[in-house]
Amino acid sequence: MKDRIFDKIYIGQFAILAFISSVCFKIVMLPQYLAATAGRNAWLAMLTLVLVDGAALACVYAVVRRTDLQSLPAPVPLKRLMIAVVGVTCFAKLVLFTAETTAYCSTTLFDEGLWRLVLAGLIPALIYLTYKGGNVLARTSQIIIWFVALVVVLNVVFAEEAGTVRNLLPVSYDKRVLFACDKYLAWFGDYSALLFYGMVAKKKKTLLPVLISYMFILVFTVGVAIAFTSVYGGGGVLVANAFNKLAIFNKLSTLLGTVDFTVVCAWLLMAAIKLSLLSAAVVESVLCFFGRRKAVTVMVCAVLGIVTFFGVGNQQTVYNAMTGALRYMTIAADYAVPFISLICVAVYGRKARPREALYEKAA
Amino acid sequence: MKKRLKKKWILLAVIVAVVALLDGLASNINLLDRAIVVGLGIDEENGDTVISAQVIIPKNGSSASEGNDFVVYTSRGDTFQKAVENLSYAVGLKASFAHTNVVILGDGFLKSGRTDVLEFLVTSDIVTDNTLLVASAGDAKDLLAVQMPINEVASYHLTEILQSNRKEAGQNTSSLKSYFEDIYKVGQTACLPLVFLRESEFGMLGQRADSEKTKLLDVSHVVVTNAEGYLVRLGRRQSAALSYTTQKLNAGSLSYIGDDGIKKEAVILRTDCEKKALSYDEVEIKLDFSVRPAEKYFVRPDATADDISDEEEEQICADIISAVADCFEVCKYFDADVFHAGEELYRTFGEEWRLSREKNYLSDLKLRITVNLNVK
Repeated sequence: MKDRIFDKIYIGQFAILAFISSVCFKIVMLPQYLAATAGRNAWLAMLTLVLVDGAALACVYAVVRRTDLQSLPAPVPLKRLMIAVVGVTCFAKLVLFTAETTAYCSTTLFDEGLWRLVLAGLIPALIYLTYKGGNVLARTSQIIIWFVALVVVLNVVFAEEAGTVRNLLPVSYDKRVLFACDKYLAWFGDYSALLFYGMVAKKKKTLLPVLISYMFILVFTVGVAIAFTSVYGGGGVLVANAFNKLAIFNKLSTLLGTVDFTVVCAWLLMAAIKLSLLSAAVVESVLCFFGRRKAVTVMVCAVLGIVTFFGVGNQQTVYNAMTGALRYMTIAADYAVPFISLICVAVYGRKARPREALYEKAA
Repeated sequence: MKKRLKKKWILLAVIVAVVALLDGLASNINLLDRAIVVGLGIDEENGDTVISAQVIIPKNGSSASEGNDFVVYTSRGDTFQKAVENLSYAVGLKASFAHTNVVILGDGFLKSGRTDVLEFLVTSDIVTDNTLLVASAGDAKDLLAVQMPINEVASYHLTEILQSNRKEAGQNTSSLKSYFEDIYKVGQTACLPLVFLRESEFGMLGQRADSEKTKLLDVSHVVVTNAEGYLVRLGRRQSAALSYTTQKLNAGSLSYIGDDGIKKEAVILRTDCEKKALSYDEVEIKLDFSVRPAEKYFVRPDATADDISDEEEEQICADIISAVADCFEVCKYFDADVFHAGEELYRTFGEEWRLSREKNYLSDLKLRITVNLNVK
């Protein structure tokens, strides 16, 4: 439970991590899943849950401005329970998103679909990034975000009209939208992993980067959902890997093949950050109970590898699990924990040391 | 310091090992060692899927620009995936479909009602969304094997016809994406251009002219399908009417009998179509045509005479309305909402309409067709 200064991140880094964490896996399989359940109103389901996520992000931000989950001024049993819930949920999501990553890479980037080979390449990278912890992830995300921005700009500049927004009509917020919101909860609530990183602020008023980040999250996720339905209409239920299909260089000519490599590279970088954030959260959770960082990191990633390698088998298995009862873990870990943490900070707030003071002390 | 340096070397070695292993084990095949499928035909024979592929083999030096005769390979399997695997064995190289421009669906295949193959094509990434879909009047493999007078490769020739900038009246293009977009609309109806071979009236100069008959591809007919497969084949006039409503045309012509009793033609400069739901049972199709008399267009662009008279305009409009109505009635008979009127009604009136009228809405549906003709 001891404070470690290497897990403190700056506000700008927090905003970038929040963006990557939220956007990355909402633009792969989720648009197809939502389209299958909510039809042409899939974007409303996306909008609803991203707005709910906004509230969760606000709570997480308010907490990490003062403290982190391990140093939370709260009764120890409650704190341990919250850490355990976050850890277990992050691991479940880690398995889900690892399966999506390996499935995507093996089906689109390799001839023979050798997903276990992709996993073998991913796990060592995950061990390294997880072990390095928050600071390295934050710094790496600061570097890659420029490449991501460039790819997005290229796609916007070279955008061509490929669909019609009339495919979104009639707009109706019906029970199918709510059903989709409920069924695909596991793909939302992405910020609890950030609770493990205390924030270092250079200025006292630091809300702006987070607000900008959230605006981008809203535009990207809902924008992709709208574009997806506009382009594919009801046929979206058959279209996997939304970001790959919507990538502009794929549409310009039929002779360019089926993959837009700039988008793929940008997405893979974001996926590596997102997966590492989740595994780092699992490692931090375990460390609160036992073990040393290096051993726990290797153990967590090894368990992930084994579960995915032998247990998951195909993406459908993990899809079934995460759209089943397991999805409600998201409510506990990603919505309830940040809110309870915020209450703890408010109630026991005076005992929590401000981050600025911590940073200055360490420096 | 030394210890840190050692760690970095170990890390570097691990990265190199992982990258090398991944690349080595992934057995990704070099482009030169692939067979690039440019056109794909799908047929059905005794329950098996038979695929025919027009293939470029870069290793052998074949290329589109050199105009080599691309070889057509065939393979079969009880499933499409099996047939694809067998194709690689037949060619002796890994078959790559990323550059497949056109997929031809054989008549037998379409009538067999198999939808799994098309669903596989759209859900997998083996071909692009923009890949053109066409129906063949006979077997798809026969269509691929034929030699064209200008571009010898049938699949390229088809692509040129259907994907070029010319959007002619009577040509209805369909890509994999647009096909499934239509199938998932209310009414679940889509259409495919029907391709068949006909003898060319024109001969070819050179050695080949003596030994081979010249053939042309005709794409002026349409096959209407639904989620279960083949429904009806539309005639030339009905197909032309359908093309007025599905795309913006900038080529082709309309024929009419002039005031002097002579058959004349007007070139289509531009068309536009707007659909509007008027009530629960009525949809308006508003067509805008910009045309120019053929004589003025081709012979004397500066001529002031030969304009279309008011009576001739009325005749052209009546012909268009009659063709669209005819197309609608034929499709209605087969329960095919080829103009996607149901989709328009649903978009306008929403769930209320769907719950009260969606079932058998076609039987009560009225189409109001209006044509606005601009002579230029």
